[in-house]
Amino acid sequence: MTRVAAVFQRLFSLSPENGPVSEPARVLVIEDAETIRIAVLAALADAGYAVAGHPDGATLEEELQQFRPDLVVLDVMLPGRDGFALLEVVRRRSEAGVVLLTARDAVSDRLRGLHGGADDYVVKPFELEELVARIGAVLRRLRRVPSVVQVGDLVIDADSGVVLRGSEQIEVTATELRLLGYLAAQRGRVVSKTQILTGVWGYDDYDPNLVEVHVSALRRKLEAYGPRLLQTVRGLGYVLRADES
Amino acid sequence: MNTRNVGLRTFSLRRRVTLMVILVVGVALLAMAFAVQTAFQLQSARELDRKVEAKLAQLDRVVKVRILHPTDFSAKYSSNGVTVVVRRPDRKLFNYNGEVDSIAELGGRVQLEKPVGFGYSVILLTDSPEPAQNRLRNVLLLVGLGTLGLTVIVLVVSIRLALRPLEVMAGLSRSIALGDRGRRLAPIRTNTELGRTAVAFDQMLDALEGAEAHARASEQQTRRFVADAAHELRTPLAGVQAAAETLVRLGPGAQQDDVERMQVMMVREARRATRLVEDLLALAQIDAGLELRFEAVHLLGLVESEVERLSLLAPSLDVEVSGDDPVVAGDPLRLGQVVGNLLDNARRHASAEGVVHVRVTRYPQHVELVVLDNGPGVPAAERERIFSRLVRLDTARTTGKAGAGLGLSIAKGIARAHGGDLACVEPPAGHRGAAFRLVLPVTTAQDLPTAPIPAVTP
Repeated sequence: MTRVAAVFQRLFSLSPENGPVSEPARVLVIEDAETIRIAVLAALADAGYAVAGHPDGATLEEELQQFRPDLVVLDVMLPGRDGFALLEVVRRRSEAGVVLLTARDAVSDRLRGLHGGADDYVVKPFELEELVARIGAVLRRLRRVPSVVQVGDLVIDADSGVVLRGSEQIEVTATELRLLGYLAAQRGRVVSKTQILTGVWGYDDYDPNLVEVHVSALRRKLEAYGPRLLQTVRGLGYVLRADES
Repeated sequence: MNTRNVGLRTFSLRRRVTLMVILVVGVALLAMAFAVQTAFQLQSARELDRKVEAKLAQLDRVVKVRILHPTDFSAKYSSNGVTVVVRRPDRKLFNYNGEVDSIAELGGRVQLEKPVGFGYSVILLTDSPEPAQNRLRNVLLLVGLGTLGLTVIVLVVSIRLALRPLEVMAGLSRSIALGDRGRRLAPIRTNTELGRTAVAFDQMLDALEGAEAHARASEQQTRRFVADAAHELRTPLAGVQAAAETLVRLGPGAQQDDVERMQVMMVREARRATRLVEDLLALAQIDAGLELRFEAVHLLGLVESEVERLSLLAPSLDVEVSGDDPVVAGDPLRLGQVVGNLLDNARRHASAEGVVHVRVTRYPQHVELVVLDNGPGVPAAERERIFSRLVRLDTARTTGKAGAGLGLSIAKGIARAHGGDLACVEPPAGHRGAAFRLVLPVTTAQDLPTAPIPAVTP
């Protein structure tokens, strides 16, 4: 039971100032190009982050207080205050990490960003996967990403592969762990079969039956120890949610 | 590459020439030595004969006068290579040194024995010719060998000097083969054998390196174009991909607004990719040689129909057309494309309350069409470069209005295929926008071809 003990330890010992550990990391995206902002927000939400977006930095100070982001993605070229000016604001007023989006592939821009305290930068045009991966890396470095997620009495540690329901350990296959990890990242949010398929299996296989088969196998294992957590939302998809009732 | 071998016979020039010269000189020396020897022998034999005869005549005169002691006699008359030996009646022999035991011990050659009366006789001995002949032979041998040796030395050195240019050529070839391009022999004299060879060698290098440089330049150009094209295509394709992925990620709970925005982005980026591919195909066609269908084209009419098309795209744009209406020989579709691309370019770069002037002018030798916008203009240093493929000027000129930068290249290619040209020129005084001048050859009615003119590759 040492692995389980470790999971519990991590579940209750990490960064108390950021609230409960099982809360997803919060990412604020400031980018004026609407399509890029929508795409980045969607990709981050898909990766399990709580997200908010703005076309400019006019309300940055309020957002830092209200949304309390763990990380801010800043476009360098912005209307009004540019990314470097906003970077200073973030640095002064919060502990959030910063990833810059630099349009120009200019060394001076990148150096200026890094010297100004940015944790990383991505040069436009960028791959969404790369941006998400870099954001994840920065958040891990800042220890703002919980590897342990709790939904009701279900505890999932994707890193060690330990799944607990109450005090019982549930044995899951590698695929089931990935599926559970994805659903846990999206906890409380309805995801379609297609989203699950692309999120867990990627774009190269397309067989919706995969989702159904693995979802029902996972349900059987989870429901052996308590009520249903993996709900079906008719016509839309699935959601991992602890019913308060 | 196909290689045909001549099978050049490459004997050693140096060794062959050396051997031949040694042979000739040796034979000549031998013949000379033989001739000298023979002549010497003949000459010395004749000389001896003469001496002996003279001695005999002398003796004939003296013997009759008085008889000296044999030793004195011999001493008195032996001279000039002839020894007189006296044989007394008692058969004793005397020479100038006194009595001798036998003729043999004196050496020399007995020419004759002549009785001189009273039982005395004189024997005439001449010096043996052998020592002299031997000396002569030795001298000849020495001189001959010396001459031969000297000849060989001089020959080897001079051949080496003479062949040095060949070594230089070989060295140059090797260094060129190792990649040291651009070097030449540049012979000082071109009317010698080596000079002509060197000139031919240099010409060959010029031809090879010219072809190589040309091939490399065009290959590089192609590679850069392909790289640029791939890069340009990647942008819209990445856009399509990002939009599609985002649509999947947004999922069932998405806002309708976001979904529509992504759908529009997908369509826009896909259309951009399509237009880019079409432009690339057009450029490839121009490179391969356009097939033009020439007919009489009223240039002003063509401009007006293109302007009409443009007004659908950009109703707020103010386009003013003025000038003559010359007739040119051209492919109306292609010329329309040129004018269309110029107008598109002007529309993209004209300022917000855009004004575009199009002016057609007929000159005696050519027809000119100038498109002038009121945008930021093109700096003089960039006016050549904007026609290179996929070039976009930085900053203000293109921000937010992404053109792939192929339109102007295509327009120029078509203009050149028509025997004309397209250039970005200094805007007329009082204007600050970009000015493009299309020049086409002027045509009269009888110039108009009935069959398509073969395409000109720019």
